[in-house]
Amino acid sequence: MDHSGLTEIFGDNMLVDTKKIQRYGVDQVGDDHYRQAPAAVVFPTATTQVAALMKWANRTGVSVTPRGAGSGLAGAAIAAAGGVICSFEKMNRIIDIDTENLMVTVEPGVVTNALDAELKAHGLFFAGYPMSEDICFIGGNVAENAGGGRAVKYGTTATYVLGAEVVTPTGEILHLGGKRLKDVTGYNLLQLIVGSEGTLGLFTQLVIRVIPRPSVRGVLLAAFSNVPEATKCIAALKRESSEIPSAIEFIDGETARRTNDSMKSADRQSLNFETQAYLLIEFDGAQIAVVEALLQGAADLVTEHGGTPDTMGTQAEMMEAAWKLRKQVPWWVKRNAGSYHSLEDVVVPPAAVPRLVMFVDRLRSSYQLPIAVFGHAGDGNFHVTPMKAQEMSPERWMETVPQVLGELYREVVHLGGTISGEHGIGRKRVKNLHVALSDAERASMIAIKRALDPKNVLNPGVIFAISDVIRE
Amino acid sequence: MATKAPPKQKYNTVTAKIVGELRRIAGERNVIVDKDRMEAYSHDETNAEEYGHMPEVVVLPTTTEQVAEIVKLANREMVPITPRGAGSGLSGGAIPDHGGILLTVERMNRMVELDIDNMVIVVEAGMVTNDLAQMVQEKKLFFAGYPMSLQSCYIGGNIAENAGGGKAVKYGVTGRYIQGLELVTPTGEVLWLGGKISKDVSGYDLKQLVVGSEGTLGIVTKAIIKLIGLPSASSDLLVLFKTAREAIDVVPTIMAKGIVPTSIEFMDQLSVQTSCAYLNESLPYQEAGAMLLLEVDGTNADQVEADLIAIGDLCEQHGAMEVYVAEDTTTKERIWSVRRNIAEAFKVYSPIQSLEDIVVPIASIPDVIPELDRLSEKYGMKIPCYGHAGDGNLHATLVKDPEMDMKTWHENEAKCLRELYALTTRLGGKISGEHGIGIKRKNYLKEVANPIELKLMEGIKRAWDPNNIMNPGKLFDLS
Repeated sequence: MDHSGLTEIFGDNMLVDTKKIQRYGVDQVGDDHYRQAPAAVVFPTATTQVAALMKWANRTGVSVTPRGAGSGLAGAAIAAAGGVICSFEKMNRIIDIDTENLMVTVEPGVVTNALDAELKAHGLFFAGYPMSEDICFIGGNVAENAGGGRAVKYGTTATYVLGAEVVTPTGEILHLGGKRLKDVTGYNLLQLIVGSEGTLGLFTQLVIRVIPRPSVRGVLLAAFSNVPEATKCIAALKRESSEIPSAIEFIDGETARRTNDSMKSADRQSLNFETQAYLLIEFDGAQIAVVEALLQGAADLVTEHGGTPDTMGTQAEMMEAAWKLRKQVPWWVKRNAGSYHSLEDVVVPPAAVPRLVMFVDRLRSSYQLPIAVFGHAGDGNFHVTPMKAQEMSPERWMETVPQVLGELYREVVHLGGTISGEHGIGRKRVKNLHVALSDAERASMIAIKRALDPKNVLNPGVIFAISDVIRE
Repeated sequence: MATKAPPKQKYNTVTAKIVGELRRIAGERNVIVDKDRMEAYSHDETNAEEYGHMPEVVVLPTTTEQVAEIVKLANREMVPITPRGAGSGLSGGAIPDHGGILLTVERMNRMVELDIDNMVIVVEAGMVTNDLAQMVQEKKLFFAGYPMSLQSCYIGGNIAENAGGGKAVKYGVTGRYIQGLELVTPTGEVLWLGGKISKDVSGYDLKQLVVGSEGTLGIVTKAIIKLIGLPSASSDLLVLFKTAREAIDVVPTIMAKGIVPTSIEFMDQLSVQTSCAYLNESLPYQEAGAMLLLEVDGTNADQVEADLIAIGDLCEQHGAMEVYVAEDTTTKERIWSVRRNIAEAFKVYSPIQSLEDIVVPIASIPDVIPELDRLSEKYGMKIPCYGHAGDGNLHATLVKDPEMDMKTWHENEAKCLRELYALTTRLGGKISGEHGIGIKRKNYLKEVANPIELKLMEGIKRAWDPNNIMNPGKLFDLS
């Protein structure tokens, strides 16, 4: 590739050296199969550079893939062969915290936790963030419409995106939405580009709605000796609590124990061997008495459903320990199974959760695979994670995974759900998208992609196969 | 890549053969060609003289399959098709201004399923929003995303316009509650978008593209609507301020306390005085430069009361003249009627008005008020301003002076709107927060919108509706 055009735009803010470039060839998708080193990485510091990049791409036909922290789980931030990565790590300023309008303006490269730290000082809260908040970038959260542990109460990232500066696939700069809660002047292009996995535009600035920071939290860790009881309790918690819990997380017993064992002894919980499922239930609010009453109500529901309230309270340390157990699960999976795992994020209607969990049991026995089940039970979004069995050969694993996932995807769609609730289609699920969407729906999406990106130069191969987008 | 010929803008007329086809598809009794009966479908809540237009035929399908077949017919015959809900819109979105087929969803008004376990209701597009609200209320559930006109409007229309209303500051607008849609596309395909799930990132979010597209990207035939628990407690406050600035300044301090009221309604001096005089209200309104009407709701009565007291205190610290608390229904009704009767009160003075719904950042609301005074002076009309202060969505309403002749009114209305919209844009706002562009504002949209943004919208419209038969002439005219 001739990168003189890129040098003109980016000067020293680019990489073509093959060694340093390697780390931009992966994300957290796990499977090495998706590894693809880009031809170059550019680091814009201004919106005009991003616009110039897209004009260059349309001229040369070289594709561009936008990238945040590379913490994605579906390969959406990995470039197509021969493509350029546009990394937003140098566009990381918090531009404005507007306490009158309760909105912040940020660049896409801001780390989610860094924004949270700033907001905390103002008593404010950005509710739409995922679980990887210590590494992920706001821009990536928005591009993927991330979910996370508190979506059951607060909704996903998209709920909080009110405005954006966007560079279109053809290199035009647009300002969509703004500091307002209502806007019906034409199509909602903003929410179309949010969650489009970097295929319809590159975010260069974001206007995010923030809310008053809940001053009190309370957590209940509940243990169940049988899974159906736990799943029935989830529905009861949502229906019968007088406030929506800010989190209802699920971990299957075996996964919880093995994760716990893998943690530093100081961090470990004392977990019971009979337990088949744990629920981490959280409430938040402005008054400690109210939150405590909600916790007590939840504890009563847990007992009614045959579970045991293990630990409960509003003390920071106790809550942190409970969340740590939940957040460590994916890291244990990685340590335990290396790249021989597939972290899924299927979603089913809340009432279908018991059927999903039973189905996973059947998958475990028919394929003789360990499958961790954990995730955001409150909104039916589960990280069903098949892992290679110890004795299984890597070759056999590679053959088995697509079959297991194929069955899982068909079942969630059959249950009224879909194949991805927060990680996205990326490169990983391109071949499975037809399971979730009818041909007509997929064609409607591709028509939009073609209308906005006629040369298919922005993140090609993500969501749709290149051959499906390019017309003969 | 081959470039396509631009879509035809000249449509065919509806022939007897087409009417016959429609009768075959939808049934004899579900097709209207009688002029007198069609008249009701020729206008909405905008001024009929200015925006009204007769359809050539009205069809009242009863199933999704019929809708799909009618849309295919429209494509085949190259006649335009205008989808319509209750006709309670305020921008002309449901007016068949190219003639052709008017398709009303009024006979598709069934509740398909109330699914308590998943906290959703599945309904057809023609269901009256009020019926829906009552149906779920019986089960202690709540549909939070409805507009102020809920007695008459249909859920399908709310979705097409992405309606707002008074509770959006806490609960958001209609779009937030739409988890799934059955859509007949402009080419007559039936799509089910989304489902009974609150998280879905499998491809583009077509639902939210369709929501608010004013019937230009297809006809919504069914919707899966998210429900939440019904708040069991609520209380209201009416607060009088000397100036609009003082009233608005208090809003962010309330939010900063961690309180998100259900509604924060603002009324300027002119609105307050006209409505109170109309109602013979005994409130000491003469001195007030502005009023705020606040509602707090929740599931915990103690919390609601604590919030209310905190708000009252904040208002007093910010120079409120009077704070009235309404906990019982009678007092609530009394203070809300001041807000609800503003439009009525002005109709007594002059029925010819232009009801606007500009939206600006909340902090910029006080900057709007003096500009309205200036415009009012300049163009010889009254411009009361009231609306949803919590989300910056203001009904600045141009009211014709009864003495002014119609020709001057039309000229002045257009000039005044142009200035108002320019001001809104300058303040970082938009010309419509909940009523939509429709026919009424499409020329103004062209002036204030970024041409590149409009081009993208047009690109999507063309990609989905190559014959441009689905509600043409709304939002924009395809170039």
